Amino acid sequence: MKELMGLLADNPLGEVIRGRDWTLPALQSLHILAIAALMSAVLLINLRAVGGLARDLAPTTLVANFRPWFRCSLAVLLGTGVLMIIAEPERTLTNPWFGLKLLLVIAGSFGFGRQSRLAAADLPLSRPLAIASLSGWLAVICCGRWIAYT
Amino acid sequence: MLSTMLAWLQELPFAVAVREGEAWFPMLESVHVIAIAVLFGTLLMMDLRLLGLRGYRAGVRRMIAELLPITWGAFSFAALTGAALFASNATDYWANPFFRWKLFAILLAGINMALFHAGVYRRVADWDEQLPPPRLARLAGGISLVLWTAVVCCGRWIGFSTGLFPPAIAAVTTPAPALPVREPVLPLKEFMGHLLQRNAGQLWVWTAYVSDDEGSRYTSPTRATDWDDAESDALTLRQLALALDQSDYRLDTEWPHYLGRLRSAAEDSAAAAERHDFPALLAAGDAVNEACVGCHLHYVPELEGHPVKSTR
Repeated sequence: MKELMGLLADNPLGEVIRGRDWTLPALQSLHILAIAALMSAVLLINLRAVGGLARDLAPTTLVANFRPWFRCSLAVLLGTGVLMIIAEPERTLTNPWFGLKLLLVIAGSFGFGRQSRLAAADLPLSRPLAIASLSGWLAVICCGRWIAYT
Repeated sequence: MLSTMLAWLQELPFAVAVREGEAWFPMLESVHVIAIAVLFGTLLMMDLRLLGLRGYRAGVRRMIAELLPITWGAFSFAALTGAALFASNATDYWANPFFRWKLFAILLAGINMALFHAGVYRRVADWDEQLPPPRLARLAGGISLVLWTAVVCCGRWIGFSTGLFPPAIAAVTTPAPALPVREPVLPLKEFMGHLLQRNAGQLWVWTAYVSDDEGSRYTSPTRATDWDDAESDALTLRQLALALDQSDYRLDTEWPHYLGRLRSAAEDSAAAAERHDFPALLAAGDAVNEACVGCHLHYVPELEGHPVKSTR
């Protein structure tokens, strides 16, 4: 881990990001905008799964509609996230909140595919899964904010 | 008047609790970010539909009726948590131009929304499923998207610039000043190689042991200017230790302890040089070396596999 951090700390790209006043806040802003896009897609799909919204539409309609939306925002999140790690490796890589966040994001992203199929099938299991998915993504946001304080 | 009110606000018990408690600020901030995510995300869906992209349902009216309550709920949470965060440091936030721009953008977004609902949206039955929607609807969607993006960006920029705008200055400089973001610190490796190593080496010059044709002796400072230089080197080292003891460099919880040792050894060196006391300068020079070696053994043990510069 120490070697990796040393390597990242010497990375010229990291220097470029750190060397300008606006790059870090700009990356973080973009990161939050992408979180908003991803979070609201997850929110709508899961609200539909528990029957709280758009009951006239099939769950599959929402899932199909928001799958590209989810993938695009996840790609932006990962891209900006990786750049932020390169810029400040010691702020993130050794941070326990970052580890938890990463685990939840991996679980949530793989879960998204399975869960959206379940939601589409409208099984009894799809409701608790929808609640779990929503809580998981909310926890991701909280972890992200706590990184700054540890 | 306003500054009195801001000062009163940030001394309220809950404002003090948010400011001084360990967990309150990040907790409120987490809820604030979640609320903004839902707020911006649902607005994004509506704005993109107004701009002419196909939404998850065909009709604009039903989509807005369904999403807008969620947006307003999220807005209330964001406003409440935002107010609490603002209260915790009211004077600083009020002095921060990004905070003002954020409020201004929210106000403009509200006006844009009111105009949309009072205007083209009243005839929504005529264009409910029409793609692209009428020009005024597209305009409202575009303006809303730009303004809310600005709100999110200003919000993030506040965190990078708080405390840099004293109220008195901010009141005079209404036009946006140069971006007030903190300059990045020198990377730790560069700091060690270029500042600390060179400075410690300079200090050790005054206590080096040399052997040559004239015999073996210490290169002790002799003239008053030498003692002055030795004191300067020691004081510089002390300041370097202070500069290293900050969160940007902190590698673990032991960090302040190691830097404390270095700083106190540097202070002893400076005091010895001021008294022109060579034995004390020699002992303090050794203590500086021990502080360096101890710290290296803890963080970069491989470094001490190489011959260590001796002060003896």
